[in-house]
Amino acid sequence: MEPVIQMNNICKTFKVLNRKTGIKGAVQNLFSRDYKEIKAVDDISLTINAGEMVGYLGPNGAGKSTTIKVMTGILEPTSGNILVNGRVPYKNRSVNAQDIGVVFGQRSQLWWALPVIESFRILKEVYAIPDDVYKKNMQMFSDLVNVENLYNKPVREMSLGQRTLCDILSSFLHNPGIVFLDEPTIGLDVSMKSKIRYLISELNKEKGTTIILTTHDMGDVDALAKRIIIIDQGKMIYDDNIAHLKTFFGAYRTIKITLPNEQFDGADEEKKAKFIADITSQIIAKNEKARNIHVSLDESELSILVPEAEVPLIEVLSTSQEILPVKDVQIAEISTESIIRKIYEGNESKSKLLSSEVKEKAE
Amino acid sequence: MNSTKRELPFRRYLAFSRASFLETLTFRASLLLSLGGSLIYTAVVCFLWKSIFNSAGTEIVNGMTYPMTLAYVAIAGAVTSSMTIYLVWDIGRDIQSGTIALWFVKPLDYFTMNLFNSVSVIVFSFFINVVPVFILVEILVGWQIPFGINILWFVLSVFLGVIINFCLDFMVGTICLHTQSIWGINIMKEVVVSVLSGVTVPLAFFPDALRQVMMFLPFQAIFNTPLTLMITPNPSTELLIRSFSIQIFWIIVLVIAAKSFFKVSSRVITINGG
Repeated sequence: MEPVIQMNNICKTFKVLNRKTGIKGAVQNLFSRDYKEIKAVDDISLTINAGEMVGYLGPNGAGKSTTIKVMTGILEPTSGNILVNGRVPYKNRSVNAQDIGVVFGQRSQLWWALPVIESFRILKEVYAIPDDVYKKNMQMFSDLVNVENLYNKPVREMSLGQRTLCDILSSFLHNPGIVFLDEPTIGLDVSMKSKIRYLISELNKEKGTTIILTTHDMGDVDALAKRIIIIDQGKMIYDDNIAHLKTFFGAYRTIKITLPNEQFDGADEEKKAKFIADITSQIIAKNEKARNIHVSLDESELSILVPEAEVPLIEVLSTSQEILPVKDVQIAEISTESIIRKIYEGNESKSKLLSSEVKEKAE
Repeated sequence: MNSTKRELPFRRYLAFSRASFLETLTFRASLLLSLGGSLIYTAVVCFLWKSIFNSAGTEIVNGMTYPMTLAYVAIAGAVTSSMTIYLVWDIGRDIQSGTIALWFVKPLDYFTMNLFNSVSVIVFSFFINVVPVFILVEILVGWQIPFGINILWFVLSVFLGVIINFCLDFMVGTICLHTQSIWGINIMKEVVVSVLSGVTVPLAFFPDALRQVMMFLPFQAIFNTPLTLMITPNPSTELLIRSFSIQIFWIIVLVIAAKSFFKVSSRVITINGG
């Protein structure tokens, strides 16, 4: 596999004014030379190979967009070196542009007032796409998603989903080696999301295009990315495949036990807390390895979060049914979403996170 | 993708001229309103200058007759309205909303792209606005404005004026990269251009000293040069050469200035962030 993007120790700092508030502060701001430096990207090194589909994740303001802008040549990194398709992107912006496609989910590159087919024709000229390549791609697009009936519709009259679909297609029109998709499914309904995921994965397969996908939708990640990169506060905190993610941060599963309904009718918080503490200590007493389980109670459903690296789930389950009146049992996997959330919220205390995780699951 | 393939220079930019032309055609109502505005403006300046000439009591004021003045002012108005394409706002909006990033990731030069984008709209709008106004003026003054080779010089010179105006607009728009705000600076530019270019009052009516200074500025090359060529029945070769060479001189200077200013300024985003 040959690398198409190579970043070594990339840093990007922005100078921003230390703004003061109020009228006096606003006047002072006009003359202020008091800048502070913000590290948007802090020492990131990565290699992305041809044909890979990479999910690029991070909380809002983590530096994702900045990294994308460095890769596309819009921004010049403060330090470090970067090669995209063997070129330095910010030095050869125009040449680099011929080989990449970009979709910003919140902005359209299509001509607002014109039928979408006109935008495709313009892009054909902009990228100097030969006729046969253009025809072949248009044919492929209509085979993948049924879009011909949209071609004569002005972009401004399209729904967000139709527009996004066309935006994604238009970014593949010139056979770019790399396509950057920045939140492509933002604001779309479930069926459109799945259509777009299908389209992206097919384009990646058929054309062997490298795809860098930033998103906040874990559905996108689960459906598309094999490898994920997570950054937070400008620093890379994870770069590996998605299957590894679950074991890397500890494999957790939750046992949900439905108790007989009448058990907690009219019970107050204090009584419930006592019950939880009681159950926890009973399980630990029977099985020493289960000391890190976390129990919570919601109506008549008891959730036990089990760290599987320490204790097999099945052991906890059998212990619980010895001491509890079990009506029904369910076992829930921890989702990618909750793992990512745990990573984002990393510095908060573990137990608090886990309990919130369980609560959300119950909802 | 084979980017080294031989292609016509500017071919990829012609697509933009075509697109913006098509976009203009989409908004029919706006075209008619713009023409209506030009015709009303003509009627207003017709009465205004008629009363000025009446109160002056002579046929010729500052070397200009009433028909010449009316033609100058009314057509200046029509040319202005066809040149008003809100380029500064467009660039400002591109910058403020960050849409400019979409242009930076395309194999295009932003200046050239905008130029081709604008020119087709202006040429089209020129025919929509200026031709009817010209006919109206001729009717009002009883066909006293010569209709011959002077029209060709006028059209040619307007075209050069369009490019000069484009460069100025582009530079003002670029300022937005530094200030993130465009309102005040654009209002100021519009006032300066409309006064110093001769749109509001023909340059012949300015005091001598001031006119001398204005002749050294690029603004008069936008409107005053083509309009003077239009109302002059038999322009001397010397006047033609001087007019066109001044315009071409300003085009060269301003294209270089606008492109380098944008290049320097776009480093602001590449360095300070967008």
